[in-house]
Amino acid sequence: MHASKLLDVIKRAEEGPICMEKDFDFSIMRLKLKELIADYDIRYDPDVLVPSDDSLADAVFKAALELYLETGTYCLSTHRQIKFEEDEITEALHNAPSQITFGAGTDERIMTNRRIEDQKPPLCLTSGGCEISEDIYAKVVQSLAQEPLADTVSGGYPLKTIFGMVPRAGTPIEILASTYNLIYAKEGTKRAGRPLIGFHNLIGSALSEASYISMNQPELCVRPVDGMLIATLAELKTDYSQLAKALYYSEHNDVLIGGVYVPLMGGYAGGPEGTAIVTLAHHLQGVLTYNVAYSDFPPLHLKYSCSTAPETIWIASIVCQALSRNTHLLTASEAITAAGPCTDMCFLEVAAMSIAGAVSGCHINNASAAKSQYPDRNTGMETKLGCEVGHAATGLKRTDANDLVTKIVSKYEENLKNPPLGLTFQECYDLNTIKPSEEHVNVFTRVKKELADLGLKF
Amino acid sequence: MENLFEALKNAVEKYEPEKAKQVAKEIVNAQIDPLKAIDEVLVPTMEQIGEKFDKMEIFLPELVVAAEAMQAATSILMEPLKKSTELPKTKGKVVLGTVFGDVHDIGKNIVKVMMEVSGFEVFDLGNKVPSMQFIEKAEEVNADIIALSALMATTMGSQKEVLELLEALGKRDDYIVLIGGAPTTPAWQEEIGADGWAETAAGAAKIAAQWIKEKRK
Repeated sequence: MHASKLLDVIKRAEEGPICMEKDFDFSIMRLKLKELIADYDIRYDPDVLVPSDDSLADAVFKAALELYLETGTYCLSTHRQIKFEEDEITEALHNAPSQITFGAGTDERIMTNRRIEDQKPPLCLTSGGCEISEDIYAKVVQSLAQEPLADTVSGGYPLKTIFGMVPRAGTPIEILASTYNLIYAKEGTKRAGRPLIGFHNLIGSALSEASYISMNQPELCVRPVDGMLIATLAELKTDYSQLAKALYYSEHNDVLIGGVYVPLMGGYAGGPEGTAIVTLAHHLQGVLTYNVAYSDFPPLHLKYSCSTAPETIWIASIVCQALSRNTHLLTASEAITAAGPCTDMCFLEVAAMSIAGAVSGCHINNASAAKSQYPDRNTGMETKLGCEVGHAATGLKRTDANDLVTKIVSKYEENLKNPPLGLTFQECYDLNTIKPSEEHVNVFTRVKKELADLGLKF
Repeated sequence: MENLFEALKNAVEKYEPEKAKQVAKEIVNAQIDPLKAIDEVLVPTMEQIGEKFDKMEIFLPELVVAAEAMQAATSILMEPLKKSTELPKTKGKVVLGTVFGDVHDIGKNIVKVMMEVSGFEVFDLGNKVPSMQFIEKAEEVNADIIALSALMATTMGSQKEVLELLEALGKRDDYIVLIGGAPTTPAWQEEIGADGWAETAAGAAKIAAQWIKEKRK
């Protein structure tokens, strides 16, 4: 899409129907959601986390389309709804890319849309998440990139400090941190011997549009085979800052624009059913208002702050299936785990989401550990397990996948409220060789065997 | 009286603000003790609804509408008390907002509801609030608590800035400072010297109540 289409979006943000934010949340979105859940008879079943009912997937898609026609996107900067007609939505979905390229050379990876129970393995994106200390930043990215099944990497970890200063959003230091975020991330891929691997998420330290735009300089080697994630705001909202990022990168066309959607299960959308509909509507919003080529979504549980609770796994599965059956959009389900690295629970959470995503027609993104809450708690080993499980689950029937996922979830569900914090990267890896500790390898091996015993064929 | 109290409870439980207002008017017209209606019906009913929300038996929209019903009824019940000395005191005044640079406000909005239904008077400054604005508002309303929400690792540094400003202005001891939000932890609370940290909105209201109790000892 050319930038002129986004100019039309901004025009709508300035001329669309005015409404109070509270009315958008409650009178418009919530009421419509209640009606749609009843009309389409959409129900969450805690015993079926990977549903096999195609009509349920189609109902979620149709409900999301109806919802988005009613709500559009609420622009916080103008207090207006950016609305679209049905034929505009249909056309945008039709014109969205069905194939994109990440990386180059031997690390070139083609992302294509996947089908439910697809025999083609998912791309394994490697997630960003928590803050990372400056002295180990490149090493953390190296630990991800050195995993053979990792298809892309992420610079989506904010730097904890830069030159001893805290890079607060909106300050000059944020721009400096964003630059060094990318420098260190690229250094990490070089250290792993994969300098051409694609980034699906270039920077985590950037929040403002100034920082996003400051990335676009030749010496930072940002390429059209790397991606920049732009977030929608929960629920179905945006603002001028997000639109500015989308407009700039659409105009320059020198990086892939990705959407990241983090709907809150238990928030304005209500329970699992409403959140599934809203999650899918976020995907429509991404295509229509940001011109995204791909997307990544971790539905977040309001109470547990993770995407691996039973309800959020169900949301991920049914949304992947609904998108796969009704569009050719490129999307990845993301595991944000409650537990921290080097714990059985963290590995099990990653496995559950990987299976659900891989079987339901999505690509997979593993893993932000410890709710992305605790600094330096992300490592390549959790990614490794997620990738291996995603490949092992490829081609499984949904009923078999559901059997596996429900058994895996039952092993950690009761600990979601008080998950183990696990270890930091410095405690998990030798900082010279970037090899995982014996303890970490042992936990990995134990959980992998446990998964094999449940019937997953590696 | 019992029938009206039951009707008031039902209105809040069924998320009907208009009905709650109507019943509250009937209670006032019947010259029933309004404080009794607040203490014996509205407060325990909202506590039950808060517990349901905490257990995720209900979700944010229901919580907000129930709180609206409670607030609407309370406002009507308080009318006759305004002329007397019986006006119930709030638990305390809270200046609340999402810190500078951060546009996210769902968590902050839930904290607002939970604090209000717990009896606090909340001054919500919205999101992307410059650090000094928290202090100016706290001074203006003579607040007890400043509550700072941050959803991004890149914005939580502004929680620290508010504390630094309070310290530099010699006002640190004037306010209880609470922090919360996805990337924040007890370790961060300790690092920046905040008084309390809560993982959930219900937890924030409880910690606020504990601090106020401590302050007023």
